[in-house]
Amino acid sequence: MLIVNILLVVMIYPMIGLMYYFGVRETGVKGKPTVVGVTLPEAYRQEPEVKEIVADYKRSLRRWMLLAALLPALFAWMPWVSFFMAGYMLWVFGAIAMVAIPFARAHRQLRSLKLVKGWFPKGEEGAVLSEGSVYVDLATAASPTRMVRPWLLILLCALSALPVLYEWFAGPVPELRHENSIIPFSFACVTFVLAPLIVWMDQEKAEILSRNSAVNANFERSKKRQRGMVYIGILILNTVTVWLMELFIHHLLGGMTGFAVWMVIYTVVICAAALRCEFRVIKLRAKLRCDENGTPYYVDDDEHWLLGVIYCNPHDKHFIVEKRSLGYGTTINVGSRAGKIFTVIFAVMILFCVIALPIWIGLEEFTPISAGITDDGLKVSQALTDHEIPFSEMEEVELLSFLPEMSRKNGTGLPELLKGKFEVDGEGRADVCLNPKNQLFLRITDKDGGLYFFSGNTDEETRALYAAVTERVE
Amino acid sequence: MILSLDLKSDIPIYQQIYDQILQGIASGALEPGEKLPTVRALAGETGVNSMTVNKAYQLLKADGYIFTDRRNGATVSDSFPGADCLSDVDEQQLSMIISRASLSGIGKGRFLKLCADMYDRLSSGEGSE
Repeated sequence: MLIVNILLVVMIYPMIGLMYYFGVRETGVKGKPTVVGVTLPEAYRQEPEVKEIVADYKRSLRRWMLLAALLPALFAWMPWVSFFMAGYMLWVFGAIAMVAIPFARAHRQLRSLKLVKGWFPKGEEGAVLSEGSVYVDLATAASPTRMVRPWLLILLCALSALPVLYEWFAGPVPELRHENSIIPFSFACVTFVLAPLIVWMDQEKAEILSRNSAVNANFERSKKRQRGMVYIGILILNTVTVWLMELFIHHLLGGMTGFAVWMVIYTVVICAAALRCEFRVIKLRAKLRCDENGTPYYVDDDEHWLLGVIYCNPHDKHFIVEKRSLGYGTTINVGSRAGKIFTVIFAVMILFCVIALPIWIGLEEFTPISAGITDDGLKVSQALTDHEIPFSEMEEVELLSFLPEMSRKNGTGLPELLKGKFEVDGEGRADVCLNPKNQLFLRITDKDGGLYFFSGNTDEETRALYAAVTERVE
Repeated sequence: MILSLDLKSDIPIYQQIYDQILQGIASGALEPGEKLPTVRALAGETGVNSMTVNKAYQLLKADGYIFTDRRNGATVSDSFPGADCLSDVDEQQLSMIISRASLSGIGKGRFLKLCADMYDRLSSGEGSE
């Protein structure tokens, strides 16, 4: 268990490293129009007050990142899955907040300073541009670049839906059709969600890097071509994964082992492709902004960026906009209607991960198995699950002193609880509710061919149950 | 050419669009025959109401600076009206500016120099590229 915990923790460290990298990029690197999320022309970046804020931000960022890196020491050693998960989820989301804390403080300080000093970018004829103005390059707006073909996305959505529909209506194991549909469906959902996001991404507002419209148009074309290729590639990989899931869950292509190997390949390929694409976009953007052929242009829309990272502009109808600070790629406009819906969904997901998930796992982990005899049958309960088998339905009852090899199809797999539907070696599918650390287990078959493996909370309970059940069945 | 709209300004937004496109044409940033965004596209990009953009386009069209057709949207005109003379409205505005300059103590010579400098800057495209 400790090894699994450590693996899960180690997986997050590259993310912390990446966040530190993006945090450092906020200190006024060349080619980036903002410093700690504040639009600040190069001319003002050498002012002593700015240097002081940036130096303080760097020190603070290092301290917070070190704290984020050390936090797993508080929970990684915990043998209880629910406690570990609670700590882990708080850490994953907390680490993001930890970068945001020094950033938000520095952002507020620098923005106030900018407003007091009037350090605004200069527009045409040296006129000071007011914060919150709207900028549009007429040339790129007249010929918007569109790289995504909607028919391809529709095709991929349809291809992702096919295995799910097949499994739901005509899966090879009729009694497990709905359960077996869950995994392909969850991957198909990635296609269904990503496809419209790609369309929105393709329709995002053109960036203005330079007064030269040709520079802006070339950048838009290049950025959208790269993103289109990579994200559609990811969508194709995901569609292939939906089809492969259908094979894995029916024990083809290596079953669960094949699934695990594919998941590693899937994750690595997606992360590498997305990172490579976005880093190329960042590099190209910086290069073109610094290019002597174009004069850098500052789009000062600071007043629409809450704390410098959350874009909220109800007047902007775009749902997806380019991310400006602390990261790469795109972000959502929480001021738009779709943005508000997305924010609520995202908040619910975070609450689920941080609060509901650990509580649910805790309920599974710490509720003992309750097994007993009722007037007409055997009842085994644990947390929200109940099994009741009437004596009249029982065909055979055995007391096993070992647990046969079994793999989980759905349900719970904790060190002290196996619950749900399992595939038992040489015996087929079974309903299971037992403590695998016990030594004694009940094996029951019913007249309809159903197979059950149960245990009491202790071996003594299991032995007593066996005696009571055999007496009634005989 | 980059259009910048100050949403907090007292100048109506349609007027800002009109003025900047006109300046763009005068400075050469917008060339004759160059396509402009459609009303819908510009409204979408700026976030302002499409009626506002439409009003600016209608004024530009009425003054002969752009023309529109159903297939290609708006395009900068190849030839401009009123050669060698200002319209009555423009003459009225100019007289107001001269009056203000005079009341501010700007002499005729300095005023003409300011006009000449601005004229050169706009014609050379430095003003609004």
